[in-house]
Amino acid sequence: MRPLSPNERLARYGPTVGDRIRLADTDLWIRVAEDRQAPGDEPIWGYAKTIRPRATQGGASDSELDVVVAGVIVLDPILGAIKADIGIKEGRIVGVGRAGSDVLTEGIDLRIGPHTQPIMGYGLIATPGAIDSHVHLISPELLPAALSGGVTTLITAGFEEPPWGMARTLAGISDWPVNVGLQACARAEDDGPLQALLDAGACGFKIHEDYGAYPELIDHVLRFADARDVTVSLHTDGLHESAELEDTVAAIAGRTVHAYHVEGSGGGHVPDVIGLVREPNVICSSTTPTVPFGMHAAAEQVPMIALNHGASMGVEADVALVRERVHPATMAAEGPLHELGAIAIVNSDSQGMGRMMETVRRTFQLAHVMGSWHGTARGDDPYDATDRVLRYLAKVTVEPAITHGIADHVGSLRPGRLADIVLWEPAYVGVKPALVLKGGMAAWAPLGDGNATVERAEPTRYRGDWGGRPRAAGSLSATFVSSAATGSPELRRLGRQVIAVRRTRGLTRESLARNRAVAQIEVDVGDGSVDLDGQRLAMEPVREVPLSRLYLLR
Amino acid sequence: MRLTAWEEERLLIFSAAELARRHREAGLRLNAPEAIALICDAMLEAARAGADHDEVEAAGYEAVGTDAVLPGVTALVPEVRLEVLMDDGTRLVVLHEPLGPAGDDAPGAVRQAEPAERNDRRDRLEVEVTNTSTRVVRVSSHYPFERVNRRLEFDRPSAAGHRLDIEAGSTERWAPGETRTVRLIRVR
Repeated sequence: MRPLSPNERLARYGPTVGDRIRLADTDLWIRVAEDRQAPGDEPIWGYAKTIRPRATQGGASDSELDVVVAGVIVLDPILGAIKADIGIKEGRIVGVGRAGSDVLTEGIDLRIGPHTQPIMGYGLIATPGAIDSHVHLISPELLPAALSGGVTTLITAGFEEPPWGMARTLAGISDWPVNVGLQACARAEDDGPLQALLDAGACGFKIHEDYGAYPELIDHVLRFADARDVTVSLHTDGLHESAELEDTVAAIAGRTVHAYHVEGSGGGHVPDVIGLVREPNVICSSTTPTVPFGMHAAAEQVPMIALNHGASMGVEADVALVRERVHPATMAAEGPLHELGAIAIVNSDSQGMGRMMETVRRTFQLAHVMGSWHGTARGDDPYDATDRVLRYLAKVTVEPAITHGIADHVGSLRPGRLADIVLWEPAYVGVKPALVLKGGMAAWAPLGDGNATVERAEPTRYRGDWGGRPRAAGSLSATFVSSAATGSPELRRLGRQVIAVRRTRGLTRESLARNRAVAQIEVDVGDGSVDLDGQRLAMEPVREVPLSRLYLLR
Repeated sequence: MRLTAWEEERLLIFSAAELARRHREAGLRLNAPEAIALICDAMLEAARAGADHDEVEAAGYEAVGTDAVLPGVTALVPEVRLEVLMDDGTRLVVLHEPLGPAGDDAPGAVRQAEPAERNDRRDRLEVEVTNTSTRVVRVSSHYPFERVNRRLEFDRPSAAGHRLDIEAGSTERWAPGETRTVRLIRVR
């Protein structure tokens, strides 16, 4: 028996420790830091392979896995880039380690038994299902877009309320293989209406200038949220009708807030809302259209703002109002602030000024673009951008998970989390997944010809797999609520896991995983340009992005 | 027409291929979905015209030249799977690297490190094995060697607790009547 050549080894077992992998058509390479499999005892399913009784499959036991994703490159904001087997039991991850049979191999921490379903991860990359923390559930068409873009958790940003509408939205989404948490718009400065939103299943509040983002409202909602451990997300007063930036900061008064689209064109204090990156208690995010800052980013903004905010393109005064929100100089600072880790999160703002399928894609595009920004430290090794990749991956996984009080359940592949796992071929990372597992079940994938003798014969199209079908999907998914609603019979009747958010209050940038910077920037209140330590913080608009033309039919 | 979903899928491939042809005629280089659509369309059309399996395969391989695609696209199409309707019914065609090999440092490329030294001190032993069967016998890497097909003759007691010392998922083959020496390794 001739030993395998290096290329054959790669084809059978995928990359291993020390290998470097180029992520799709970006300039980003990751280096595999560790291989937790036992060399020589790899569990592989198939003809003449090893997952069989008497080989890497052991006997039945209580600890035997339901599912093993074997030999995959785990790319996780906490665990890093490692080769391992992922063990899944009852819809949750029980370990990222070495799977097999104790009889055969030393150091087994994940037991393959007669009831373990093998998923071959060799040659694939596994990331946590992404979290989009700024979703407007404008239409159900968002859901296939989310899943096709690797997103498995949606935290909304208001407009599903009142409670009557929230109940029906939660019912309508219940058969989709996504976790969902509704942040409801806080539109009153008294407790009754806020409590009613929590009772209906809200996991937090959104303060939105289109419903008023007044200092007194901010103060009241934060006081209410602090007492009940729920999130507050903020779109500030762009008109300066009730408050300017310093008034908003004073009203927040050191309490935890998730500030949306701090670049500004999505809404908020014109033009200096980006000054919120100075506040350690404010966790900042930016939305998809300006990530990364492209040469046409400003051009699309005026109609986008008008259509999303009740303005009319036929009314001159409306158009003038909208135009004042668009500041290319601030857009130019957004990427650098992400690179520095001062803006922690990327999210979509779906159908409300953002693109549902592009949260992950644009985050990787930004990581690629910022690798050549003049302010970026040059590493010694052009084939190892693992740290940058993990920092950007964190922006759509663990950082929003921490911010929204759901990090025990999503945002990482650490043990205990829901087995929401996106598998990617290295050539397609960030743009088109190979398979989305929801709660350990295949839920979304480019499925093929239903009559074919093999799976994935052309034409392949993204569709729901068994875990994405009604009744299965809901049971594999969570609805995130406040502790006020975990016992709600209406919510339980939907057949989903109903889970309370926790530890949402008292968070600062220090609470995050990889994007902890606080940047003492200066913002020019004329054109919105940004300086840091006396230097202009700006990147050139990009003309071309990876993860795009090569992959997408349009 | 009584179209099934399977027939409607043909129209989807046709539409994508038409779009790809239009882009190609406009002097644009193709992306991955466009190239795959053209490859599939060429094979479906060949089969429709009565081509045999080899001819259909050839039509797929010839459909799109390496120069017709955007740089990097070759790496995005490692394989195409398609079922066509030949004169003897539905048949599977699988193309391997229809646009050619991906090339160094292509999208998704892997740069392999020097293999790590393995410090595996498990006992190994060599056994001479004769296949007394009239059939080919293969044994895979992790099968307990003392329990292999009784028509393989060797010092069976010595093999207890051992498996073949070959890579996981590989096999050793014995032709009828063949005698060969193989190396075994102690499990754990």
